[in-house]
Amino acid sequence: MSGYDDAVASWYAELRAGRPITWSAHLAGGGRAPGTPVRVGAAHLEVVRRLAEHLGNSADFPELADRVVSTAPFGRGRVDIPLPLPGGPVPGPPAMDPEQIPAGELLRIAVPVLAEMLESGPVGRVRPVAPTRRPRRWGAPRVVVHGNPGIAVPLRAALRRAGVRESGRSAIHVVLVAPVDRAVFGLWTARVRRGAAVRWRRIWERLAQAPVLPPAIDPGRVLDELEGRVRPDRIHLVIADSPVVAAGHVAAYLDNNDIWGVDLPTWPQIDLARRLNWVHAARLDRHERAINVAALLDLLDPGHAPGLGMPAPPPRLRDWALATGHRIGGVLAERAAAGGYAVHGDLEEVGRVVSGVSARPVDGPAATLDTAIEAIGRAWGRP
Amino acid sequence: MATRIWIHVGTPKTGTSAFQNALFTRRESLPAAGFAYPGERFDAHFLAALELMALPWGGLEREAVGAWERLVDEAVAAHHEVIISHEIFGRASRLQVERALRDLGGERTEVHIVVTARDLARQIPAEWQESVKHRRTLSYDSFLEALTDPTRSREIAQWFWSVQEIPDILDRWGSSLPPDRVHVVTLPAAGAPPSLLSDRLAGLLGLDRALLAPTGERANPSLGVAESETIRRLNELVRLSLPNERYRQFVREGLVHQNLGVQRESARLTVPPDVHAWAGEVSSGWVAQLRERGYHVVGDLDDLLPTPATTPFVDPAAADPDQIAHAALKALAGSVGESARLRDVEIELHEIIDDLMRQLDEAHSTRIYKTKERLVALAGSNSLARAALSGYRRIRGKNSRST
Repeated sequence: MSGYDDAVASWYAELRAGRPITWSAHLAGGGRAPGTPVRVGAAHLEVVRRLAEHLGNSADFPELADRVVSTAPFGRGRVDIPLPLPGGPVPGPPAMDPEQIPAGELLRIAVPVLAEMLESGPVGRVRPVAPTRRPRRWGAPRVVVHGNPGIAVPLRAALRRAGVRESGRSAIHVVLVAPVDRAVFGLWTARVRRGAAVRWRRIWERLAQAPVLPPAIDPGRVLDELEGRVRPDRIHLVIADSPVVAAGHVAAYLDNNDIWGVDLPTWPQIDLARRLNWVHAARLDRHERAINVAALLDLLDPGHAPGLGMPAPPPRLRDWALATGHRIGGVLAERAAAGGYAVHGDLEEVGRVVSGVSARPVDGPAATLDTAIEAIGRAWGRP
Repeated sequence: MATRIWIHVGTPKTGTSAFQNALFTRRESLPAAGFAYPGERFDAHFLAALELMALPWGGLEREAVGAWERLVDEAVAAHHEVIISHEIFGRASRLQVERALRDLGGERTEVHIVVTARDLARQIPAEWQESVKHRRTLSYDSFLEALTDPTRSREIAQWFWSVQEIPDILDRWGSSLPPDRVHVVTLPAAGAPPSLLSDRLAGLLGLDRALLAPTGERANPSLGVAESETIRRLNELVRLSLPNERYRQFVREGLVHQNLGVQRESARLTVPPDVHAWAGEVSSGWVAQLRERGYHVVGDLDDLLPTPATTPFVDPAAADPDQIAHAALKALAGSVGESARLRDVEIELHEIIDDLMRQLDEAHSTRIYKTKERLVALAGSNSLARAALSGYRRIRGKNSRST
């Protein structure tokens, strides 16, 4: 083995033992303990280091480390980034300090590791189970939920849990309304949960190109379908950017404290899930991908990300987002007044872009990488 | 004696399509010459490469599931020398190479790595044109900037160097093999006889030259400056509206391969003088390293040093507007012709559908069918008829096609 190979093997031996020492600290410490040679670049080893930082004390960490360094990276990117060391391989990609490697490169390794764990490990065998339902109450009001699937699906689950039936001629019709950026986030969440690998930017581009916006974004289209078929006093516009808020409004209206919503996943969780779908796209069908996403989100705490904020529209489409939000909000206000629909929440919210037009669209993949490391840690630690 | 498996791992734009096409077209004749070119379909090796390297490729990766294993099974079971060839194999990481050599290696086999290589000053414009044919919108200027940036931070540069940096490719693929099993076949400088590359490959493999002679099918034509820029601008316009599979069909195949690429009408794309000089320095370093490693060379490593430019550089961004307009009109004419052809196909299909509908109507106009329809309608209002129909359906079972 060359001096370079020796140094890499020696660092890997440290990492494999669960010690998250950085490459530069390892070199500075003169570490030359013998180790098994590894045929991977700096990105693989940095993923191992971050995992060691996360759960280095785990007795079976060497097994996890070996799994990482035997997992091929997914998709395009740099090939086998060399570690910076005099006498290292030349030519080839420029050497990089592992701590400076872009998060996107590390995700090309972390996501396939996670995908393999979800697919074949104990986590993947856990299938989502139907929530327990309360018995339906005789004579209790029934509710039909319309609109953004990212919020509607968890709201329906909340209603089922509380024993509220979603059918019947006398049902009230809840039309979900959200500010445009939150509505797009809800739509993105729903599509990724169903197995899609669509990027945040791409979903905006498609919407901006579409001749007609889907009902998930434009609740006016839901009203088009309900008006004339449902009595106006049964139509309720619920302004909500999350299932928690939506469930709160419905619970208050029905005076039913059993209705409570679970928060939406954070955007790094959804970004991670869509990358997982991408890795799985060739081998798993949409249904199987959806099961794996459910298993992944089950590992993570929904909405648990202090200071993370919401993703904003792509810069190129911010004007479009503002104009669309303004238009939808204006039209809804007019229709709500003309139709005499009950409004829960502040309709003026709808015309705003809540995430702020100056915010970055998605704060790079660094937060997604943190989520991936957390997910691998939890999947590995789960019995 | 062990069976030799030749893995041709690139580089792109070195006549690889012609080589693969010759082998696939004549695959039935190869066993008589002691060779096998595995795979049922033309792109079997490409799909295998996609799977080995876990590369998404505009949806084609779904067709790649199992392709690597199939190729390996066929290769190791062959009783002849085996040729595996695809230019994107060059991008494989050490881990993926290790798997490939493990899967294909063994007591019965002897793996050889082959790289066909051409000078960098010709590879750079060819790769940009290839990227345009793969619906990229990056200008040539930005492409050159990305390539010459020593950090290689842009994705396009990472891809380019992963499949074009010959010493690195050979280090990844050949470091565990004796140097005499690693073969570098150089492409002669511009102006040499076109058959020289296939002759060199035939000589290396010990194959009859006639078996590698170009077939003329699936050529990968090179575009002129104006044609390339026209397609690049078209890519910007169809970026969001055209799905990948339609792009492949109508732009890459229809416009580039069948139309604009048939005969180059504008200047050949080259590199600007400063990039030419830089490419020369890089290439000199490569040649020195390759000499040092002692690989088997077919041709001359000096072929990899760029020769002085013979034509002036034309920047695609500043291409003659008349030539762009001409290329655009030619593309439009081709598209209109294709639309007309597809309209004829559509009309023909409608005639077939109409005929089938007529046959269906005839089948539905029989007395028995009409009686059945009346009885089903009656079951909607008459409880006795409903019960009878329900009983009949129970007896008949769920899978019947009839009423």
